[in-house]
Amino acid sequence: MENNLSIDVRDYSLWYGKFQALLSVSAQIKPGIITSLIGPSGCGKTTLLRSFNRINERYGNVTTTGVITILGKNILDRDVSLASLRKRVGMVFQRPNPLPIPISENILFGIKSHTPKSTRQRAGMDAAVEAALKEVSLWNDVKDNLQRKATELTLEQQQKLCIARLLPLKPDIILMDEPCSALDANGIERIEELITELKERFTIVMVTHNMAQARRASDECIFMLMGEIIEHAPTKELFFNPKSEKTAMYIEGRYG
Amino acid sequence: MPSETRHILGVFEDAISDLKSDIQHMGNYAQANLEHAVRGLLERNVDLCNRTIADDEFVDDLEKKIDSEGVEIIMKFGPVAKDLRRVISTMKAATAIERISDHAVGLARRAKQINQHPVLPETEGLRSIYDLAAAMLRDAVSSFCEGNLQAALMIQGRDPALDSAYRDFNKRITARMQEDPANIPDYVDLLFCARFIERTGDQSVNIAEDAVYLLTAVDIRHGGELPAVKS
Repeated sequence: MENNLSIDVRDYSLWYGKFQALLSVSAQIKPGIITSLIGPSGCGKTTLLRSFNRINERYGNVTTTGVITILGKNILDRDVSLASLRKRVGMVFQRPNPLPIPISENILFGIKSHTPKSTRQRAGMDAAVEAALKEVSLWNDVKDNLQRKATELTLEQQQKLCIARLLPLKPDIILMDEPCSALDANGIERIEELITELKERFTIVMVTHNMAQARRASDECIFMLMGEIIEHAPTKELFFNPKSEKTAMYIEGRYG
Repeated sequence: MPSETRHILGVFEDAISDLKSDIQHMGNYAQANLEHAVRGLLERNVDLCNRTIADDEFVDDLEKKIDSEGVEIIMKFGPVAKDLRRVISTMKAATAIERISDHAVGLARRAKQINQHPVLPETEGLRSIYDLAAAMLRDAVSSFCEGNLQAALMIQGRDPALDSAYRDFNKRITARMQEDPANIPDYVDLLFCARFIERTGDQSVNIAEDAVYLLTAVDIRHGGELPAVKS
């Protein structure tokens, strides 16, 4: 295996029942950068993203072949604990999904689920809440009322909170499934700015339908079509001089 | 320099700021190269001539860097309004500045030839042509980099003086060729030197026109109408 990869996908196929959604895809995703998955609806990009923390398997009728190595371990192995996998590989969804409980409790929820009660300390918890909210530039907005219900925040604030609550768990990878599609133009740019600030410490993989966002916010792009990876290249190359005719047609808007 | 509000996206702000500093550096290098070439001739200094020729590489590299940065900004951010004009006009100004540095190199090469022969008193005549050209270049670059519309609008009007100084020099040298045919090869080189300097004036006009386009979106090239200036 190549060193210094965050996610190494080899000959990975996935079926929903009899339908094959991913056709033996391979991809090497590097740490410390933002990689975007792009392609028309139904191309398999969200399926691939969801494979990285095996959240697909909730559907029950999913079968896979191949290998996905994350931090040296094949996450498809039977002995992998899904709880610890999802702690290391966090996820942010399309629509912000904070729990309808206080802001601070949203941050603490993950910590509480992953650390035994006896080892938790009140002061440490408060510090963790403050640090997480500061990292996503939400602290100043909410510090005076941390007991406010998280669902009362604006969508942009909710999405920042959803990112913030991953951070105390110290994930290695953050998956984002169209993290900005519910936001307005300013919200999009603020979340992108936040993602850019976070990228050095995390591997970020993002699904986006928004070509402009993929161009602006990602370092590398993976273009998918009908369950296959057509092209994986630095964003500038993929959008300036794509190697595949299919990629060119899609990004030029002649396709999909 | 008029202050501009920061863009929400820090990476965009950084990219634009790289572009601004690169065009400034390029302008500084081109001015230095032209000065070194002219001094190389007037002071009969071969080292300065060689330095001009070598330093042109920095200008060439910056031209390529600016083009690459410009393409990347357009590709990544799809800039609009003044941001779009800044990218386009910076890429064009970079082309003009690169040509100026090429003229400096041409001058330095001729100067090396001339310097091998006894000094011709007419060489001094280039000094005043250079003074006009250097001032135009300095003001064109600074108007572009500092966003000074008033200064940019003045540059076009300064070119005829340079042209006329060049024509006078031309006439003088042509006359000298008849009186002193033995030195015709050096006189021809001097005519080329004057021509190189005169051409930098045209490129300075281009840079200033790019500055006006950047600042006002008005194209004043080839007799285009000047924008109204708020005082």
